Amino acid sequence: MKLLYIEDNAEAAADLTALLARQGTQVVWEMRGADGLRRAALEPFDAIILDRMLPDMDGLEIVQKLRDSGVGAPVLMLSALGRASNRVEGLDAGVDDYLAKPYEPDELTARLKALVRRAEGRTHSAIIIYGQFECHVKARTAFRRNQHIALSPKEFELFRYFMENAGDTVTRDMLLRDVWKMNFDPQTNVVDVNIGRLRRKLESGFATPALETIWGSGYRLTRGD
Amino acid sequence: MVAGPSLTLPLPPGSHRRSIFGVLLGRALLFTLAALALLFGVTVWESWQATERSLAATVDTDIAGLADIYAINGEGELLARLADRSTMIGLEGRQARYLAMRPDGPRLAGNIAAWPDLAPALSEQGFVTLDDGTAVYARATRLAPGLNLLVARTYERDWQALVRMMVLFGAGALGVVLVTFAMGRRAASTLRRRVKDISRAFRVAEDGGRPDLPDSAYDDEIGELAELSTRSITRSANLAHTHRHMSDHIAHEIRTPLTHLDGRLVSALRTLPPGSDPAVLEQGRKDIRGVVTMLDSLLDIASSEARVGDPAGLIEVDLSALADDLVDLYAGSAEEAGITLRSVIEPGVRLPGEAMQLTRLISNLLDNALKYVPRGGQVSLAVAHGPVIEVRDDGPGVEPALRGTVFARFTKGQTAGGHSSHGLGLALARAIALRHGMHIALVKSRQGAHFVIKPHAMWEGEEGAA
Repeated sequence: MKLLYIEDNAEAAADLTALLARQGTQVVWEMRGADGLRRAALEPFDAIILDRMLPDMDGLEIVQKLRDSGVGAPVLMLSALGRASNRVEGLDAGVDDYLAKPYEPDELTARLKALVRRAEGRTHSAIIIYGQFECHVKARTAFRRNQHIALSPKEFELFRYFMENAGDTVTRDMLLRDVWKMNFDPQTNVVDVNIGRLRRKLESGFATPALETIWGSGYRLTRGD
Repeated sequence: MVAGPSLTLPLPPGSHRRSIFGVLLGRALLFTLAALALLFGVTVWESWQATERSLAATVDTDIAGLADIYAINGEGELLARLADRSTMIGLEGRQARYLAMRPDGPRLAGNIAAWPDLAPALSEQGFVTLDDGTAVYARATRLAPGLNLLVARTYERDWQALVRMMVLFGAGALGVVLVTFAMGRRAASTLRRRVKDISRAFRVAEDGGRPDLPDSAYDDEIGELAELSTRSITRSANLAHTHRHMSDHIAHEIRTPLTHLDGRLVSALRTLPPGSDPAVLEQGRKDIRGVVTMLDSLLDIASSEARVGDPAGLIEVDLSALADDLVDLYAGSAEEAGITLRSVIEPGVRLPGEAMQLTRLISNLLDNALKYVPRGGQVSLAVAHGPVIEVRDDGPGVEPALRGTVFARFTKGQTAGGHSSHGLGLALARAIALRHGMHIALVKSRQGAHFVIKPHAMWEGEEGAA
């Protein structure tokens, strides 16, 4: 995977480049917005990570120019402006995802993977199968090793989200944003509790866990084997 | 009495309000028309009265002369003079008409064929139409017991003069009305445009755009209003820009070093020697997130308070659906905590608002209730038309010492599970309520805490009104 990172802060850029390099991702760093724009227009990238407050340009303006010039790479805005209203502004302006600093390294990589997968247009069929799990999207039913699991409508939405991101970390913010349509953290354990209820239903009668907790960042669906 | 802004959806540009200038122009035209009609009536009536007086004077003078002739020279001379005068036309264009008759019928002299309906014994006078169709002003008189005399004057010229005057007056009045209408319409159009420019500038500024500032070059009241509006719009825009700029920079300047610090803690955790306890480093990372959360809450409160009364960004929100989703989200947490979460949500409750902010408002109140209510307790959420939002619980309630400051920043109570918080949740709830034209209050209840949020007007005279 090859990413473009537009960030004026050298220390932040070094941290992120080192983090992604450990996972085999190549990161091209540009310090100025104008240089980043030029680079994005000249080279293909799987995704662009963009700071919002750059000395020469506003990140939202860069997104607009990228889209106007036909650059279709998904954009993750990584910003020190992390309030709910800032996120809404970013998403309204056309960024594909918004992550506030300071961030969890696992959360950043999870979001990047989800973004790239979405951009590659990997769509899921009516039935998603991962390990022992099956998700029948149209019938809205869930199975583990061919055994039906009764889920409430919201639990099914959660299960489907995990199946669509099977094998990858799904963060609390991703769940709040994509399942509950909330751009802020309620500060209580509502996500953990709802995941706990889903986990109990997915694991009832089975010896192996269905969901792993990734400390500090989120959860990952196992194959159930 | 509660004072506060009430919010409505912003009017679309060029919305159809009645123009005060159009109304004023209409009224001015109606007044002009009424005044001209009255003046016309008075003038015509007075002119006709003058004509009648002139005719009466002419006829009376003629009768007086003829009476003298009869008295001095007798009936024969009188009849001869009547024959002479019957052919004369006066300088004013009035033809003289006479008739001398015996009271019992025989006609003696004159150029009138038959006696009109005027009584000589009563010396009656007035406008009459003769047998030949001629309209005259006439007076009948009895010169002697056996002699009746009728003297008349035609008034066709007088009538024609009056008609000419009426036509000229009407044309002049129509001209005055048309000129008044044209000038009034032009003035109304100019004034309407100038006031619309001011309104448009406010509307564009409210929507967050950069307005063309209204023209304040005119040295009149609207020019002064335009000047004051320009100052107000510019000041508001500068304040909003400065506030936003400051908020963004504060967030950036605090979050950036915290991000570096967090990065160093992550590196330290990664390179921690085997067997070492990572708890201190992990607590350090948690503390960083706590500071960030507190900073965001403070900035959100400031942002909501700064936008009180500003309808920009508010769109119609289905509060019922939003509340249903939140009950669904919190049901698990409540069950886990051994708390019964009830909801009474009327369908179709809508208001102009920011969905995310309203979600946060209710979410903060539910978070608060779940934190303070012990196992076995109850929390309820009610949403009704008004809109009215109520969150109540049967927990320990708010300590009496804190009731007055419960919505102030950093006010913290003793939670059931020892949860930590910055004491900003209710302050943010209050700021969001104000932003949406509503007031939040902690109202009295027999047990637990009872929060009510509704529009300012609905609080009038109630406990909890601010």
